[in-house]
Amino acid sequence: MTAYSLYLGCLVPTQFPYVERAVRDVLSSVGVETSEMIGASCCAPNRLFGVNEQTWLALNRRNFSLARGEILTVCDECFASLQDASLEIDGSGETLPPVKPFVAFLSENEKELGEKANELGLKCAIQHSCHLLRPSKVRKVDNPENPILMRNALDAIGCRSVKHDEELSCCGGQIVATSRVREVLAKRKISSAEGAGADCVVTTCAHCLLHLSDHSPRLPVVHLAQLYALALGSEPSAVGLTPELFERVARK
Amino acid sequence: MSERPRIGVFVCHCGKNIAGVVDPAAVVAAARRLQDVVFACANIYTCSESGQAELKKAIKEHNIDKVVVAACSPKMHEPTFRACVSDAGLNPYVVEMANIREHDSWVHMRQPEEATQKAMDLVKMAVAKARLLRPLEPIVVPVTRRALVIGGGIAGIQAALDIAERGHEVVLVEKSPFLGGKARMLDKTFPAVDCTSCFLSEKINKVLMNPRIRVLTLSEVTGVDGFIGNFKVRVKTRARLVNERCTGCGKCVDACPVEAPDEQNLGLSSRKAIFMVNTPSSRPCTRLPLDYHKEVHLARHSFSPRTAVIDSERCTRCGECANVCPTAAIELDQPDIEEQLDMGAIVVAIGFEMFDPRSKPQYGYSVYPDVLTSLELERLLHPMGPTHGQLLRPSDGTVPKRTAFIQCVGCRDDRANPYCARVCCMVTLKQAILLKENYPGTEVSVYYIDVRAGGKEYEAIYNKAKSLGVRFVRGRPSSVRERDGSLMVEAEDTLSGVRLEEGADLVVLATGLQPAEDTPKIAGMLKIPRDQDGFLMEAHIKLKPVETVIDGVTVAGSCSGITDIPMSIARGHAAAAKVLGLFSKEQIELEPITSFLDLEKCKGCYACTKMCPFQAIEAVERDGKKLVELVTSSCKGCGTCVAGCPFGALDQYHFTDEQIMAQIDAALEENPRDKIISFNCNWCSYAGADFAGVSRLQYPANTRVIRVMCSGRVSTKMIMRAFEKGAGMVLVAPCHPADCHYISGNEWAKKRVDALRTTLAKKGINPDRLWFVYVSAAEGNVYQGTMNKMNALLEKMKSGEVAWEGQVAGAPVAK
Amino acid sequence: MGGPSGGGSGGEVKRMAQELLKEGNAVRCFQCGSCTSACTVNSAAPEYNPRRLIEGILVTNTPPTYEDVWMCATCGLCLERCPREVSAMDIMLAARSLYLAGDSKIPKDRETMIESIVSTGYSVPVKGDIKKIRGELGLPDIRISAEDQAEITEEFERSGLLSLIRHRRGGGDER
Repeated sequence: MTAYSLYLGCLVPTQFPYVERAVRDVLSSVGVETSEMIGASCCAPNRLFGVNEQTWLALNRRNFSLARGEILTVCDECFASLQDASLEIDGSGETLPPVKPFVAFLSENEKELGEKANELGLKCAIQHSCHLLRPSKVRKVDNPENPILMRNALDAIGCRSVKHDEELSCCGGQIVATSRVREVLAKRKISSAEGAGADCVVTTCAHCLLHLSDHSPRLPVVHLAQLYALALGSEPSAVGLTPELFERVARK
Repeated sequence: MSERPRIGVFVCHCGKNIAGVVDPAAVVAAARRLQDVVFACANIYTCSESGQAELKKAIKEHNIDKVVVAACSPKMHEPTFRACVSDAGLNPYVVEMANIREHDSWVHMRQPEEATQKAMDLVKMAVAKARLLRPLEPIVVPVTRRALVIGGGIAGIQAALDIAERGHEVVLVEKSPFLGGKARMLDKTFPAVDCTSCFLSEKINKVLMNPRIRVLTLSEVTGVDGFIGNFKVRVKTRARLVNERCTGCGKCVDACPVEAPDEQNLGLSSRKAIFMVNTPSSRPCTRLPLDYHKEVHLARHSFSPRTAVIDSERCTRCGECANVCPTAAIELDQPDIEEQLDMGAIVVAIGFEMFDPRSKPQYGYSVYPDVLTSLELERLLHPMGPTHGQLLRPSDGTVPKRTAFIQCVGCRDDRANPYCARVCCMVTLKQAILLKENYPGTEVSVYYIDVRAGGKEYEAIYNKAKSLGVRFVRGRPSSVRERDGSLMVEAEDTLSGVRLEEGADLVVLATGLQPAEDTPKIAGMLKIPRDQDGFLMEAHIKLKPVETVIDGVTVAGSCSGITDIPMSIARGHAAAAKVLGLFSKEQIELEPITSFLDLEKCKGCYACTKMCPFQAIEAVERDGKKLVELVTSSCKGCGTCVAGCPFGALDQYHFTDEQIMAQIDAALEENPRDKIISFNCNWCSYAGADFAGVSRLQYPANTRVIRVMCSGRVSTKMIMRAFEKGAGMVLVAPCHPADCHYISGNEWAKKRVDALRTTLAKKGINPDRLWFVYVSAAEGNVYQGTMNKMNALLEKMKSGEVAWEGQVAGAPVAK
Repeated sequence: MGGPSGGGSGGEVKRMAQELLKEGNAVRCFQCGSCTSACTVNSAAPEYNPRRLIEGILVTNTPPTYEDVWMCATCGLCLERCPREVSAMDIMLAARSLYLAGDSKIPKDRETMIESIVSTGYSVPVKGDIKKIRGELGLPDIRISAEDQAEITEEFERSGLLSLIRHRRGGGDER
């Protein structure tokens, strides 16, 4: 079975540790070995927010040196940042290990995971991370206009994806804190998902997770790994899915 | 030749094109110092009347017997100067050109000194070859005065009519069962917004009634051999499964149980596996009184042969049609027919196709039924179309109250077609006018980036559309989405900066136009290069806009670049004029640059017979001795056999081994280590290097190009000669694998280079000094890139970073 | 303290616009408006108009303002829809570092994240109880060693970013 270097990023290990638990559970359920990238720093997304490209590149050069083999990311912003850095450092892809986003891992192991997983029967509004899909010429992960990876991944655990008007739009998570646009976008998206009758919003990006859950008093926002872990038999509380979440009670 | 040759050198200023970078006086002075040069001068425009007069005068006054013209590319003016010296009494084949424009002044604009030095070298090389040039007599061949027209659209039809009306036979080959191409599918045409039928039916009828035009529908050209005046064309006609007893009664159509999408309606409606073919309908124009039209149209369309045709792919051979046919016209076991035709000239008029907007999924085409392409809308408006001319929404059959047109879908788009497709603005304006005139009160909005109305009477149509109340929004929509059951067009009104989300009942995508699907196949068959956008390349956009580099093959219509109907017809006329020009002679002359044989040296190894794709070399036995015999009339002059003969028994007129070696020696006489010898083939890489010049792509000035007809002419001996004389690097630049003008010359070139590279290190030559890069006629940038990369490596060798001899990992191979 | 948002010396502003011409394929833009029409931020804040900002660079030598460049959500829809492969997003990102090289600061929340990476390796605070929670979940310790931290900090020093930020500090304004 393949082994991956697990790149956790910042938000997941420090704010959403149960998402990390969920990821590890999913990986071990199909016998995937992971090596820890000890000492890895933040991936400095968007070229360190546009502030300094040199630092961004240096930090990620260092991150790559800590990997042993293919890197698996848990957050799509990390995926994009590492992939961009990789292209800049090594355009031909010969010297640096490849980087794989979590949803691609699920897609590749769909059969095995599908066989082992229970059906959850949830109606999920998918939050497609901008950084997973675009720019499509670079990312090459999924169809940017009609993405199917997450849809298929949910299907494998018996969940249905719910179509709504704001499905492909950006959550606003990378907009600076003082802008009220952040709030407008998140609220628009959550109300659209609620209006379509979703049980929860599902994402594979830690920034979407953080930003949308901050603006979703009723509708639970979860990482796809959490649903997968649940479907593969993990304890709901261990992976951050308390029964209350599903009864639409406020999180805080 | 006991006397020394008397060479005249003429250095052209070409206005400032050459003289702005290269110093012509210096080049003339250097030329004068060369052995056998008895005269050298500069001209401002050597190709002009006065320039040519000076040339002829000099020839006479100084008894010149060999001429070197240092000017533009020989692909531009070699014929001009050959004719000129011919006029002065010399054999046309004693002219050699030095390309100091496309290969020099235009690509070394910031290095005048190096460019001048290079020009001097190029002249030296040309003089070295000129010394050895011999007079040659052209090969005379007869002309078969029969023309093949590939494509039965408006341009092909026009060309066929012109040629036939002058008394020559024409075979018109059309893939579909219909004549008329895309024009046939249009209801009205711009700028007058008049019926297509008005002009098209008449032309189609004329074609069908002309006894000299043989129309082959359901037919395709499967192969072409031969040369100008003497083409051998293979045509395959698919079986119609219906014979000539068909009266067009139509009973078979009713009986047929199989349904298929109707291509004539772009799949918006269906037809049976058996269907009728006839000429465009007679729908009255809205402009003139109805009665008048009835008469005129009936008169025009009284000759409307209708026959049935069976779509053999969909037909299940159930035989129901045969059961009801009153004249036993159905023949389900009818075979396909293949025939070989002798033709003197070929007109390619294969037209264009529409961009498929499924590759722009943000517009919802094929997801939302009410998003259509402009051609589909045209079919909805056409009386023979799926809704009999009623504008109805595909989703619910109602008349749309708000129609949105989106321009530039799949054109002016780096992710689709970067060019502007020229006609879509006018198509939309025409359709917008039709909507407004026929459906009063309807709203029409056009979302555009620019409105391009550059033809005759076009701006007036734009004004008419505006006066009818068509709304123009300057902003390219980013997407079309469905919200609350309605289509929403999302665009920014860039003139005000306001973001819009506007509802529409029908969205029409004005899709761009692209080269026809068969273009690569036809281009490959005829050996016509394609330009960067995939269209067939004309020989020269201004000098020869309807001819191709293949003598005897012309292009008409949109296959060489999108154009409107008037221009397609004009190109049809022009192509026909070229054909008629050819047919005005009974014989023509071919370039005598063929191979020749020294029987004494031939050892009968037959290696050459395996290299010739034209069967121009035959293995024979004479008095028990194995020899070969040349079939000169089949020889295309590639020189592949010459380069492959281990005993030097073969050589090529006008490109002899001696001449080429002399060019190599001349190029490397001074500072050889600094130089790159580049063997370019006439059709691809020489033209590609020319194109780099035309595009003013700059690169270092140390390349010396040696022109051969085909990369197959480049022998191991030639490459080794270059290295022995001290060349820094050598480039062999052939056509891309499937594009060789002589079929397989480039394959042989690759074999020889690969084999040589393995032995170079042993000879003390770093194999990285020999490069092999595919360059097509349109790839000026690839040639420039290769020059830059080679020079980078050369610099490393000159600085000592990389060894001149020995092996280095990662030797560049063919890209 | 603000950035040269239209103010500053005219020469400086012009120079920034000239620099931005080289970014994100800006010179290919023919002002079709696909970017603005697709823009995430424009849908909520019509005053942020990427097409108009590029027009400024192309036509009037006017760079986008400091406020403008920090409004971009980096969602990439502009580049995705542009027929000329112009990336308004990359132009905004490039402008951010140009402003910083001028005399602007970084928005407070981003600066906090950067400082956090400098001192802890993570862009968000490692709160006290996270160790406990992780332990309970059976997750490995996430402390970054002092050696590793020194390496990380060094990258910020080497690029000069650290001193640039520290130099600018003072005043609670996020600009």
